[in-house]
Amino acid sequence: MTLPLSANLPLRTSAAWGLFGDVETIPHRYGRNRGRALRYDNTGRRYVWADHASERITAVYVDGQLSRAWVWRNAQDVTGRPVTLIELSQPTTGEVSAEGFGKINAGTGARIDNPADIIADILVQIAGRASPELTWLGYEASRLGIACAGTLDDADASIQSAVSDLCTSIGAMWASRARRFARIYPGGLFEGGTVTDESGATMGMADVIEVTTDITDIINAVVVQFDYRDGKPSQTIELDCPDSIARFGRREKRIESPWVADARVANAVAERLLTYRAEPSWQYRADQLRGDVRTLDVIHWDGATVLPEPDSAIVLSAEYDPGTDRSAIRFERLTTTGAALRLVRQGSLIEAEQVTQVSVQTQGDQRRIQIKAENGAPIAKAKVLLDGTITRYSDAGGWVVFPVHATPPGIHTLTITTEAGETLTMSLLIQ
Amino acid sequence: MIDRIEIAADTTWSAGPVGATIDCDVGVEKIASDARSGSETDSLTCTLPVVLKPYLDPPPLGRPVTLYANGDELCAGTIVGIDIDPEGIRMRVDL
Repeated sequence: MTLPLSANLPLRTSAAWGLFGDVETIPHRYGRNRGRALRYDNTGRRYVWADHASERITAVYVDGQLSRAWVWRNAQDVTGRPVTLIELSQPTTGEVSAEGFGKINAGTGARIDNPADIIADILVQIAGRASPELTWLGYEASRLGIACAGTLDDADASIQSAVSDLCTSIGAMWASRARRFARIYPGGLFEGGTVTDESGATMGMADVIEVTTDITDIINAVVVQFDYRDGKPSQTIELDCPDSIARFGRREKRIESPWVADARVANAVAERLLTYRAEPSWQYRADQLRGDVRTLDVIHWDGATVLPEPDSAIVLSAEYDPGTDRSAIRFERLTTTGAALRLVRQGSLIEAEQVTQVSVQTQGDQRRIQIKAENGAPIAKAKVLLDGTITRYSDAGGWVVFPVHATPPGIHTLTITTEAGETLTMSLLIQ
Repeated sequence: MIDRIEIAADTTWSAGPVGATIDCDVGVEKIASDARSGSETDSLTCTLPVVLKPYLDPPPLGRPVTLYANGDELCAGTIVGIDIDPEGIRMRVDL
């Protein structure tokens, strides 16, 4: 039997191991990931981080404190299923969490972090469905540098919502009947013009029957919440397009991206949306197209119309009548903005227990970066490594100084090692 | 009887030379006003002939528009939507 997309994700629970505490869903983890491990047995030493083999565990915390006495391995549980197992040297009744890199391909051992591979894993390996055509999304994600990280741990979530969450996170659209199951939109490679136009159906003048535009379709400010840890976003990035705001008023869209962990990816999601949505778009309805034109197909324009002329476009919705072999479709003509996009803010909640704020000041040829704890206290004497090249130490006020030439506008990686030896890595976007 | 619709032009939208006039039949389909809900702004829908289509691309969304009836200003607002089909153009204006 094939599970419908509306069915809940068939995730296992800890009941599979016998009764040791509360029954909880055993998570599936992808990409760079951090989260709570489940108690495996009554020894108090063995915990399961994920319901599959993982690439590696890099750190383990007991009650939020970094632990140094642990080992991990990919092992079989009592049912013979592969799990990611953490073994502590000393038993604990506290909460055990870990960070690392999640699921790997059973055949190749490669980390699964391309969104196409994750969707395939959800649909095929977890839900037992047939493999959809995901080659295009995999190609786009690879070319656009989109790597995902996320967790499946909600047994009440449907298969459909899991796929939708992932696609929304990265700015992709999907449809189960599409020939290409999912694609980045807007701002995918088709619109970006970096590949030869795809082949697709051609529509003529008789087909387009209505075109509309509405100010509510404009988006000129985007807030992306990402880097989720145990279900909560730990980072936020906000971009806007001041020119569009001046002309159309502020029109903000907030995106929850539980499958994005990297500031570069989050920034690109916001940029793509603003680039294509900050200007008015035309929404088209076309009817009586011959054949089975499907959602996410490419449609080409060849004709003339009294309406504003469309361009080649991606089909956003489609209805096919097998009796007449005709399709009715909706698509849009987007206009890229040439106006500048602006980084408004980037907020980080790196470790709930530790660093929560990083602020940047530019003074002359220096960038002064202040690192604070959740309670607002500056973190002093921390070793801060910039982009793996320059090391500085924070002063009593939590300030660390780097030269401007080493921190040009863009995204940089800070590796912060506290005096206690705890290491945190964060992305910092400098405008 | 609507006898004139003025759309303010600027560098981001202009149907032609600033101050240009196009002669055609224009009208108002409906003027909606509802005091019961604060969620909907009062609005009207203008009707224009489809021959004006070339002047509405790019669409003048967000542009101020003023309607005149019998030579007097009837109302003014902001263009928030445009629907075009082969029969004509309907322009939605928030008042």
